[in-house]
Amino acid sequence: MGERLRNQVEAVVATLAAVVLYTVLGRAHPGAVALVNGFAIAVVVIAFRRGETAGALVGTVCGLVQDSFTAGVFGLSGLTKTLLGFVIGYIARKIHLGSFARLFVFLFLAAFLEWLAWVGFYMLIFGERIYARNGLLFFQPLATAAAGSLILLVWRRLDQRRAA
Amino acid sequence: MRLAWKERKSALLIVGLCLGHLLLVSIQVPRGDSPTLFNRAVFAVFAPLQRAAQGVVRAVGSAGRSYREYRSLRAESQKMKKEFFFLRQENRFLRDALGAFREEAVIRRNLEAFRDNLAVARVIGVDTGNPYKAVIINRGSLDGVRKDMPVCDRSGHLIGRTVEPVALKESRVQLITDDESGVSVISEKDRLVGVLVGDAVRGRCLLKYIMITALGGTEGDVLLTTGFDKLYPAGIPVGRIVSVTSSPGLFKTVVVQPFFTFNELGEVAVLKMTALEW
Repeated sequence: MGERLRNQVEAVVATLAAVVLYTVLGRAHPGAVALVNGFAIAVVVIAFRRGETAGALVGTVCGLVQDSFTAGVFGLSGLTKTLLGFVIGYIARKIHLGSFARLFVFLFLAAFLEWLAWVGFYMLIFGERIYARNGLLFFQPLATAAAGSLILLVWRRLDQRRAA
Repeated sequence: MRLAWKERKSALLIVGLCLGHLLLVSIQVPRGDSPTLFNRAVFAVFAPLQRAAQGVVRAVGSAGRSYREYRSLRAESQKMKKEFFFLRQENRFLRDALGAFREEAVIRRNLEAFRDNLAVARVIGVDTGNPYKAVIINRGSLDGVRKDMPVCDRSGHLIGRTVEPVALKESRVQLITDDESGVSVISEKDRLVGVLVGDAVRGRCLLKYIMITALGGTEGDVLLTTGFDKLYPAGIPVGRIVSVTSSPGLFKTVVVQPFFTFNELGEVAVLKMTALEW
């Protein structure tokens, strides 16, 4: 499979997986979608593996899909997730993030900034406090970073094994 | 040279995408009533996927059971559930509407229309931004669902109304706990009329525009829809008053606990008539 096609397949699979995760979590418990944002995880993973262009594009798609499932302003998550994908893809190319701890800290910072931007825009547009769902929403960057780091490490191991 | 072009291409892409998003956001602020065409398109594409995912999850969950036993039990259960559902809705509607202000003949006519115009739906998704604002159900325009149709829980309590986007097999339901929702209600005992809006935070509602001098509005009083808003038919139970406080100003603060329980919203009923057709 060509590299380009593989990129596209990975991006599509990640987006679909995010929709499935969102559906399953939302059905299990409404608060779970506040804690685990499958769309953010998909963006983080693809951006880290495939660079800023793929990250930004997947961020756009995932963000808009997330927006289409909410009653809020369409494009808000699209904007923040596009930035998240771009920033992660760009910085990941510049610095070495070998260990789990470094990867986790980096993803946490990026996810936290994206979350902050989303909350900021939300409050700016709606002029009201964000609904934190018993504080679960505050832990979203942490969950995104943890899940993203784990998936990336497992994927890296699999790549190494395949190469060997 | 090639790397520089690649960098420039990435920069152009991110700038283009961000501008596109900002444009998309800015044309909706202040937010209008209907979603953009693009929003509808994305919803129409991805809502069936969500529905499919929901179906797969359900199928995997029930795979362990014997197929035959499952089938017969399911058919029986569905039939009984449906019957129970209709009976409860009818019972509720009859009791409340009778107690309100309808004549018997009108109630009878309404009930007949009611039975034929009920679509049982399943909640397949919640709002990612705030679950108390909206849910997504697995019934759409192909099932006769349109915008502004009232939606009740399995006990016949009002949970909200369908709003756009309505896809072929999926639609969005704005809950009464959404702060942008408004329902004209009347209290059962005191006949106190007001507008019920959601608080969108705790899953509760507030009864607005009750003058501080108004009599009535006691804790425990049940609220029913009046039909004055031309959105919901009259007589649907909505919630119960949990507290009444007289804050400084013109109006009382009346907190209402809706009858429906958010975590138990599995099956719901769409009344396939708008209030104008009722």
